[in-house]
Amino acid sequence: MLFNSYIFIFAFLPITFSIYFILAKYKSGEMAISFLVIASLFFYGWWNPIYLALIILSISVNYFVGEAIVRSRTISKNRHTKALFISGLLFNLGLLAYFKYANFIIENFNLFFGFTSQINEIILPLAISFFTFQQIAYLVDTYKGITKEFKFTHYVLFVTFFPQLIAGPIVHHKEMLPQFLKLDNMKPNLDNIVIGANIFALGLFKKVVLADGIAQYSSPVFNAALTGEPLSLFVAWGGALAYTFQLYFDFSGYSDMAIGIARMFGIRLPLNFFSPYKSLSIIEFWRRWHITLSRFLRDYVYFSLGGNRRGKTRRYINLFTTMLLGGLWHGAGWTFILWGGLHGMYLVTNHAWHYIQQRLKLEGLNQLSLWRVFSWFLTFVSVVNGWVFFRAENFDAALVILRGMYGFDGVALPNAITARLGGLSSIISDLGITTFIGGGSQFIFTYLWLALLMFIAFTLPNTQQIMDSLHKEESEQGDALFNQGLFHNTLKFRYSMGWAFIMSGALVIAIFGMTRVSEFLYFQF
Amino acid sequence: MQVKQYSYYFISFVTLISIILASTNYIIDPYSLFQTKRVSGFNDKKPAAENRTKLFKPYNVVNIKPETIIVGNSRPEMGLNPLSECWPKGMGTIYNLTFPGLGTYEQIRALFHAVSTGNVKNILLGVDFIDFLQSRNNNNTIFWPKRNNEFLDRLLVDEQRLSNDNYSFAKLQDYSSSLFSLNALSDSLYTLMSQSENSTDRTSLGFNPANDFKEMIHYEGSWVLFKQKQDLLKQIFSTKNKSIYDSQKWSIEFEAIKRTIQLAEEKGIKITLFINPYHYSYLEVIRNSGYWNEFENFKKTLIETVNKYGKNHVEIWDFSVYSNYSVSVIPKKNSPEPQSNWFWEPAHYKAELGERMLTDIFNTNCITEQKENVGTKLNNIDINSYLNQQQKRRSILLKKLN
Repeated sequence: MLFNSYIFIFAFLPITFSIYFILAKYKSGEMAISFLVIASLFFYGWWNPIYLALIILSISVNYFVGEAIVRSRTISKNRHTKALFISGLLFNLGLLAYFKYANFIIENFNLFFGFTSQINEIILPLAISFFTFQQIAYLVDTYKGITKEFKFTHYVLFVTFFPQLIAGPIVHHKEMLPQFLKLDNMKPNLDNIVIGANIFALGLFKKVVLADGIAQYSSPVFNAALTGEPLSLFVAWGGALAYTFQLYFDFSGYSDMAIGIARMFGIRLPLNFFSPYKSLSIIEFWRRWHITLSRFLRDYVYFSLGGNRRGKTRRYINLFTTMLLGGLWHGAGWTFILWGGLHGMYLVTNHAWHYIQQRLKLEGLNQLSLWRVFSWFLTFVSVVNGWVFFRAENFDAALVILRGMYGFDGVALPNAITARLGGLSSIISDLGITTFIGGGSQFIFTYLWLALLMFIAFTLPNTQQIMDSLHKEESEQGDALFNQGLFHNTLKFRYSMGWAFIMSGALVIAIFGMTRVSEFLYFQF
Repeated sequence: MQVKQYSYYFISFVTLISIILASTNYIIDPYSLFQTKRVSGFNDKKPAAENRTKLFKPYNVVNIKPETIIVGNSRPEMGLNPLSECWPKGMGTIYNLTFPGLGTYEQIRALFHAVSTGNVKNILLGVDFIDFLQSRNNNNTIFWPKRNNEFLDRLLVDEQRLSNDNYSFAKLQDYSSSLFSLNALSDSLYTLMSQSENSTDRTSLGFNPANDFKEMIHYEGSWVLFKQKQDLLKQIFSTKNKSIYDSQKWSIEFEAIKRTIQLAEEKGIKITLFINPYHYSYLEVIRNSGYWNEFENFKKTLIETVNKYGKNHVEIWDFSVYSNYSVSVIPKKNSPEPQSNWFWEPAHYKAELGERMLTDIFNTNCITEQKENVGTKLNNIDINSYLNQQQKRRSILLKKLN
């Protein structure tokens, strides 16, 4: 079930919400939690009930391994505890390897060794990366004695709590369980409901109106690249930028919705996005993009590899390896690995630059406006280049887009535009800019949409900043371009008629956006 | 303000804004679905209806209940104007029930749908060679299949002309999505902003005045349209091994024509079946790609089908010929715009040519100057000698052009 579906908004959410609080009030907190578990499993099983068996198996094994680790720790059998922990880890990685990477591994094995082994197509179970990582983190924390859980239903709720089950934020057991068990949270609270609903409305608007609005302008460009069709400069940039903003508004919108729904239940989920495209460096970008994944990769991969404890070179290798694995986490494909590797390189370069800056005493540069704008521009363009690999179906298609973006396949404008420019068209032609027939309105709408989305993403405050008077979350972000956002004093949410109008307008427009009037694009043939 | 008061405002605004937005969509009616009054300069032109013909035309035809319908694809949609003075008297309300890009099977299903309203007495059915081409290796076992899609759900009857159970739900869904959707809202705004004389439109009777073509020609010249279509045609006809028949010497398309003729005979409806006119450059692409024989076979099979199943109520006309209308200079980049072209581009003819086709078919006298016939009626004609004459005519006209 998707958050941006009628069945979720008008049936699942209100029904689950009502029954949960009725049970909490008239029966018991435990019964309410059990109900929330069932509702969350129903939410997950809506796509494909078969995968319910998988998630239940994964949860059960992790729960019992976790419990065994806790018991083992209390009677201090260290070797036994470690064996339990490793077997739990292997179980999780094995599950992930089979369901997410088996096809990829066999495909590449065949390619390298010329074999023809085949396995039946394995369909990727929804959210397996999320719930597996979350449970690995739980096992690590349990092994380290940071957390423990003895109640099965509580554990199941920690993994399956429906707002964060499908696409995060990735949460820790120790930050969730105390919230579920807090008595105050078992009573409906109008503040929580209203603030949650408003955060949800903003998220829904970002997803349905902004992300889905620009999506139609990125796919045709990436599809054309897949066929090998050369792309001219503006078309290639249009497609790459469209995807850049589609992904941001889609994922951050979804995270906002998750945070909003959880807040309605009195639960605060951690921040997941914080205006990443305002970042002045790649290091900063990863503090603002998919924050809970970055946190996981830092705490459970980078630190496990040794972090920065074994010298600079080793630190860079660890950083690069972490990002490579981060790339692989996003999908079983070489383009994802390449994307991860590229970001690994970016991060290593960024850290190396910081080191050089310190040695040469160039930190003062960071205060210069022009340098800040240059840093922001370089960061953003690097990120866009990375997204080309992330989105492209294969390496060749990514190269077609990048060739186009750097002018190797010419610079051209739609004939429909140049024909309307009068005398300017001859200047354009003198500059070596050619024309192509068709696609004029597509071209114009791409750049109109991009102008709007750039304005929002680069200059306006984000959801967290808008809502922070009533929904403050801890954040570790550093400096950024327009860090507070323009109009940040005006765009501070408070209970007022004006905000009620803005938020209800966003909600209605987003709900209207969930319906598409069927369209048939035919181009006159 | 307290949270309680805020939540009252919030809920009230949600309700109020929803009502206002839905009413806006209803009043502006961007897809011509509700057929609210068209007001000049406000919502008269319907640019957003361009890609929604499959949405609004099935419902419009039920509401309008025309006596005469035009059926086919985008060619008659912009070629035959229901409000032309060249229609004979007594045709009643004429509706252009044509669908750009739709195949023959679905066009005929739309025809059944219109006939099921009970008023239709005349049908003009435009057919296209390209719609009949299919892979030679196709091996159909059922020539009149049951198909399911969003468009067919909007029709009153199924393929057997029995009541369609999905119709009511499809209608509810279409009407509600045209009221409560962001698409409709942005299209309403687009409609408000696009009320100039040359804005894209579909008239209330389903006609496409080709305003977008006029606009393109004004700014870019007609060479753009010709080049775009010629490139596309060459690409389409470059695929070999196509035929008008499958391995069993019949096809779904001919079956559709047969069933239409049978329906006309059964209901006493007059049908004028016509092959759409093409610019000579289109005909040359057919010839140069090796499909000319297939094209002639297409005409012969149509005549045979008409003669076999519909002697009483069916006329068949061929407008896809070399004539002084179809043979004209192909516009070129940086060359002066050719005068008096009867075609927008190789595949789409102008309504002025459509009027001359109507005078051929109905023998009306709306054209004052002396005119050459656009096409030929094929009933009771020696088809082989007719096709030979066409070859000779081609030589003469092309020589004259060069």
